[in-house]
Amino acid sequence: MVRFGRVHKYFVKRIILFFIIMLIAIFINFMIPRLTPGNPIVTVIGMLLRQGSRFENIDEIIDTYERMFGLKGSLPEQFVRYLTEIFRGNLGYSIRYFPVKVSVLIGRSLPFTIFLLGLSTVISWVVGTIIGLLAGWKSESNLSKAFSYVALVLNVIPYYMLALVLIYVFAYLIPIFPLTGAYKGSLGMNWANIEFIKSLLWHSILPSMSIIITSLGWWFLSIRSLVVDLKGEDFITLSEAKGLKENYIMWRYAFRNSLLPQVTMLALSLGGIVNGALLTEMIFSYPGLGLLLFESISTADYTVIQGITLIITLSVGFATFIIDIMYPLIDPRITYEES
Amino acid sequence: MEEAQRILDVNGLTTHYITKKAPVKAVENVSFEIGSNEIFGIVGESGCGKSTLAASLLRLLKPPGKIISGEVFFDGVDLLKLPSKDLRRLRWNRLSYIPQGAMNSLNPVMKVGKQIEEVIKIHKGKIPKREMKKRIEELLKSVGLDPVVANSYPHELSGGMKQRTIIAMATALSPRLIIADEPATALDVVVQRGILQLLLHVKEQMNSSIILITHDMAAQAEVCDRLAVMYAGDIVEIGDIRRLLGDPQHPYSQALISSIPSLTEEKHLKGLPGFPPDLRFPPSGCKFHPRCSRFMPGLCDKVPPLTLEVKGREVECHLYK
Amino acid sequence: MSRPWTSIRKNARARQIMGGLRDLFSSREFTAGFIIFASLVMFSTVGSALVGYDPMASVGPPNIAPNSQYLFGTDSFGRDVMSQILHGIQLSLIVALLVSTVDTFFGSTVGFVAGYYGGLIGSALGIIMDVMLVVPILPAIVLITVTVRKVELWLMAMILSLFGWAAPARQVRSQTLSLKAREFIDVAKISGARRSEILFVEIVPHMLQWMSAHYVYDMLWAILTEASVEVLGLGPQHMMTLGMMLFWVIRKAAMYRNLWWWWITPIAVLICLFVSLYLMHRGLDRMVNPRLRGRR
Repeated sequence: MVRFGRVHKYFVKRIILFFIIMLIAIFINFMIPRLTPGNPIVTVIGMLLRQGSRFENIDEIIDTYERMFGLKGSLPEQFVRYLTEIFRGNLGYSIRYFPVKVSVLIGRSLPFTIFLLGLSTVISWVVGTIIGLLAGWKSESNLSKAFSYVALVLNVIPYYMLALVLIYVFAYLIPIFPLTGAYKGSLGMNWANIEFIKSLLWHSILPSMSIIITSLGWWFLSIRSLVVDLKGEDFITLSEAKGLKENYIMWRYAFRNSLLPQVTMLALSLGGIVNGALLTEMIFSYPGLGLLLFESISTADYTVIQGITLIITLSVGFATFIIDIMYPLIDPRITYEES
Repeated sequence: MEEAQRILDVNGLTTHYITKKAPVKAVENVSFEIGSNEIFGIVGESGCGKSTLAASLLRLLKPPGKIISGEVFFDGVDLLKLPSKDLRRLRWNRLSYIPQGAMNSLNPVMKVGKQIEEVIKIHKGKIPKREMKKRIEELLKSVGLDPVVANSYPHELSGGMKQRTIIAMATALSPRLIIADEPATALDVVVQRGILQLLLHVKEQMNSSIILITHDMAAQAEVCDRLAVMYAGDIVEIGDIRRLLGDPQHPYSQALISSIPSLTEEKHLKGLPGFPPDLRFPPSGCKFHPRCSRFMPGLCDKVPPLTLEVKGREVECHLYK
Repeated sequence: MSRPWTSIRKNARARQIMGGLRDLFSSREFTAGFIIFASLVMFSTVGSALVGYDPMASVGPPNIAPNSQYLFGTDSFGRDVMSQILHGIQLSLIVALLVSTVDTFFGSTVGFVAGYYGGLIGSALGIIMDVMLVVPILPAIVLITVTVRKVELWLMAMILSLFGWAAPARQVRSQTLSLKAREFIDVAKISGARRSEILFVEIVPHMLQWMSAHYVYDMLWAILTEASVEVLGLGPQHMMTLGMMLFWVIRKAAMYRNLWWWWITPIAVLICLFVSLYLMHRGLDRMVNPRLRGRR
């Protein structure tokens, strides 16, 4: 097939670009601590000691750190060592909780973040898209315009601000929903236990609400404007002339054509969503990466912070890359030319 | 025309575009009839109201356009007063549309065959898959396309192919009347001819009538039976095409026809002085009077002319009182 | 020696600007946003002149509800909330302006160079831009601020600019590339204009419109990100910005203790800032993209 050659080249190009970008991001992650004078880990431990923390095995910590992320050897050597460790999945040890590994800490928190993020993003995208579709289709109605104003305001409110408001409402005024944690501690993480699952969902209501309500605005506005633009297109007029039912036209013509840009929008917003989710977790003490990040900042647990930023960079980059690859496969109009 | 022969009867159709200042009087009091099995041409300069007329007939007018008054009788039913549910059932089934610029008229994310299929399904109900496939194949063949086209997406087809597909869609349900708005204008000359021949074929094979709207008189000379000349929202002359082209009565028709270059004789080309009027503030009396070579002061600028029958044609001009 | 082209453009440009301003204020969104924004600025400037308390100093008893002396009450440290708000608005605006200006100028220059000269430089710069856009900002900022430890406000602004320049750079680059190829540049060349004239008279006004829309968006983004970083606890501890207020609010669990005047005020002000900037951005954006005009 003549086409195959072009497709092949596109994928290869994209993969190479992805690796280059990831490499650079890891490099930045690697370089930053080395920009400060002195041995960062000694500084940090020194500071913690001054604050009154107690450490055993200080020498062991420093030594392990230097060995793995060592400041021994030339810079390229250090970077290669850093990379190898990362590929082995070794992100070092937590300073605060030595000898607990960073990867273990992250591994414990990541599932909660994915759960919260995934749930909230899916719900808000679906709800926002459907309401936005209807609002765009009936864009003359006052309801549609009213929704737009509301969405405009919601759009700019950061997730955590709404979180604070929700806390006030549901802590002080109407104490219904739980305010902290992912599930009732006494239950333990047992997936077979229906009580656990119920508790999990119950505890996720407030945090996910903060994310859902505020991000709804964005999905709503983007598809609404897509549909409003689409309504004036010739093929919509012809579909009316064909005697097709209005609902059918809305779904099959308007929706189908705005779906793809809406999905791309999802891909592009991933970074921003992650940022917002982190802060929300912090406020609700939801045991995900956000809370871990916050705690490590307060305790200056440097290695954990580094590990988290790395993980986030890699996952967001990877997810964007996947969607980049998939998009041409879904949209029949895209050829494999570089835009 | 006899009552039984008529399939479309337009009476006093008036359409305006409502703007913040004065309304644009795009179509003013237009009346004409279409018989069965004929190709009826509407010709005029850009901006004379042809497309607005087509949109009004089909009730596809978009705001700020509004049909102010008139009646459009299609097989005895006034289209303008039809409730939307009945209109929908009638659409495409009995009255279909070939739009200008097929480039954008097909749904980009749907295969072309599917788009033909949905029209058939909506109006004729469920048909077994094999039969549907055969139907679509035949339709595509009838417009000169290879049936594999059915599996393509619109962007994979050329302009001419897209237009032919739309014609295939338009004829799928053997409608009584097809309104073709500049069906070949955006395409190159060779393809144009093919499209026109196709329309002729459709009229003959399916016994449909076609309204062919275009500014290209040569095209109409080729395929139309009757012709209406439109100027500034008004129809100024209607009649049999041979006779009209050979011996135009209205000064505007005369000017139009004399501006067509001839391959056979050496002709002195005469343009028409002036510009088409601003339809927000159309000229008083006869709208053509500022540009008319036979202008009669005191009459043409004061009183709008009546439609009179001259030499078997309907002409709207003071000359023939 | 007057080229006809030169005199035509002088008039055209003046008319462009006047027409542009008129269009701008005819947009309901922009006007609404502008009014809110201007009110906040006035509130902050006039207010600071009237209310004299040092936002960082403990001036009265803690946790007092709004009264005649402390219009927005006091926080858990006994600091006057009103002064904090007034001062905080100014700080946020300063940071926003700093970041936007640096981003826009630096970014545009880089983008222009990348687009105009193309080739290897262009591609290299292009890759750098892509990387800066991909790296998730919050974790990176966290990393940097933790490393640097002592955070000043201006340092925060610099770090923010570091991440913000890539977007205008990319836009300017693609605009330059497309304009380079367009016909009207050729027309200008034919009519005898110098290269630099082409640059400033044809290309720049085009980009100016987009840049102003982006400038406002950048301000929004800067305030947003700055607040997020501060809420996390990485902000300047010795200054009271709006974000730092929220940090202390969370630290002292003000929501649970019904110290509503302390946490509602910074949130309300921040939301007003965000909404006003966003509206102005949308208004400017519509102007740039004429297709969106008159669209509801």
